Amino acid sequence: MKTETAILPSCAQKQQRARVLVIGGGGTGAALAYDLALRGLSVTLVEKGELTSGTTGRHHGQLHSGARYALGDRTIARECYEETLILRRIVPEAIEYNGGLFVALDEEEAELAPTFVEACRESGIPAREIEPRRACELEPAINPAIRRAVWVPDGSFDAFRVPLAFFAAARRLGAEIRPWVEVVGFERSNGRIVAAHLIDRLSQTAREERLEADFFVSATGAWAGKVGALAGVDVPITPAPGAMLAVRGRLTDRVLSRLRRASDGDILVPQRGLSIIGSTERLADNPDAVLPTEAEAEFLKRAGAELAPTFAKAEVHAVWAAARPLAGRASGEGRSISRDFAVIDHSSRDGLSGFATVIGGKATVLRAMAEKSADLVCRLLGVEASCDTARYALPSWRDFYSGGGA
Amino acid sequence: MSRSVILRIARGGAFEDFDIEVREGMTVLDALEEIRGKREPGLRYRHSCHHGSCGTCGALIGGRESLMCLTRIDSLGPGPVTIEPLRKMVRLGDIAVDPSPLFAALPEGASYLRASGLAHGGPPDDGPDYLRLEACIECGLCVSACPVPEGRPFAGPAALAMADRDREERPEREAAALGFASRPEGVGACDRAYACSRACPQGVAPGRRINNLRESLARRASDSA
Repeated sequence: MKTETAILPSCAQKQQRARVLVIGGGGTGAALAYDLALRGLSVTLVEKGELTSGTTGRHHGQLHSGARYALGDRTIARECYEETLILRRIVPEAIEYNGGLFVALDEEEAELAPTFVEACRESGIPAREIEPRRACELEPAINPAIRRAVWVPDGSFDAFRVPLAFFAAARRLGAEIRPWVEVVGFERSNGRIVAAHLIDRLSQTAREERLEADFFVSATGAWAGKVGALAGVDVPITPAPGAMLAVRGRLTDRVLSRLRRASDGDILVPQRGLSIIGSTERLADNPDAVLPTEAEAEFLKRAGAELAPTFAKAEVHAVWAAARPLAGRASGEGRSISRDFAVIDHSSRDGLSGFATVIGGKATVLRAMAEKSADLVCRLLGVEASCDTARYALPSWRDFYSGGGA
Repeated sequence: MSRSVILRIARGGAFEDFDIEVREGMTVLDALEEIRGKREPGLRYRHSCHHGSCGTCGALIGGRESLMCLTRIDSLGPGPVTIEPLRKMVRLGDIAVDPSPLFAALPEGASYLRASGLAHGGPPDDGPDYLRLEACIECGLCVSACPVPEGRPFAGPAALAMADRDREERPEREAAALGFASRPEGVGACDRAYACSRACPQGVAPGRRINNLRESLARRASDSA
């Protein structure tokens, strides 16, 4: 892995002329627009509302070292850790990198500790067990009843500013980023998508606009089923709304997690002056306008207090929900669906060329998802260009609005 | 117990009323999400994190600068509740604005990380220092609330507060911060109304920060006299 971090050039590289329309202005779309622009392609990104207004921005902000996934899937865990290290280099100003502690609150969780540490190590994550007393010394807010504790290289990040830095980079390289523009249909010709029909919500006329491109990528997360349907393909995606709850007061500097297999209400993430407990998970048909329920809020308050007892007394700051995209279709519990991501090439799967869908995935691995998606797009377009996004420091997210470097 | 409230939303130079069933804990942003999801797919407003961290959902609620995601409808009067876009930004439509005027005024290169300040039982053994993100969420409520007339060149409270925070965390940025503050559009353009400090949802107290800079500039002037 390259470890030096270069400054992003302030103008577009030689254009390959191939035009790509990225649909969806969340983290994946942001990183994909940047990746493709850095490879020299001509990129337009559309998002039906404000950037990162769907799911991305509502993330609790845990920068996953991968420890949470190590017991289930070492490949995902390893990728998380690698991406954590890359993000720390390319967007350091939007990350609170203070580590994390997995704590065991009962005998069953305590017995898992050696297996957990081993799984982390096998995934390349430098986890290590520390004395419970030491853990409570390091973070006095931790429940003093903990039986065991494992340190991991977790952190937290700003779920809005990290993707915005990718948008700033994409725009600096000439990508056109268009929030408030919704795709309402596609044109097919000879088994290929050739144009998208757009409505610009900022325009007074609300007239449909036709945009031609050589390739179309749907990076619409929980909305991928809806966008796929517009193109006439079936995309197996399940919107999985989850609630999160923030209290006032920074109870810890490290992320606290329950030492058990991933379940509801088992992560407590510090961010600025807040502590955020996440999350719950249910399945839904519609990703729009998901709101938290009172039962979810009550559950999260209790779950937070189990990790850090003072959580119970802290003032509730906000309760909200986000529609996560889970790849696949589930009949029961959301967590049984894969947390991994997939890039669907609709030409091989549905006989429809010029169209791909990115589904699933986690916020921490936005850059890696973009890399794999852009690899596929370039292969299908016959463009020879490799991924370079791990190499450059991103411009400040502020550049996106101030126009710096544009 | 649910009740209904009228939200009077600014749309294209006029207001449009929306009747909302208010549920326990419902925020103004939750209500707009419901309106957009069920009735008005074209309703435009900015939002991202829904918990007061991103700074995108500022608006005038009942005439006061507020974050829509942190304003519970049951904390407001019986209504109708007016919702309008922030002042001094570029209006895009309905409640949505382009915050470019705010971002263009911010001091270049100001860091966004600071010492955490949380008390621990010992130094970290797993990192150089405990760090956290700045309290300022760049939401622009202070800029919108500031009574300095738009015709007067003024960097604005967010930018000046950021310069003061930056030098506080990094003494090597002192000269840059004071240079920023001493420009004609710096602290001299402030009328000391403190509307910024009252509007800030994060306790940054930009008014106090502007005073810090003013005092440092005065000290520097008297030292060199």
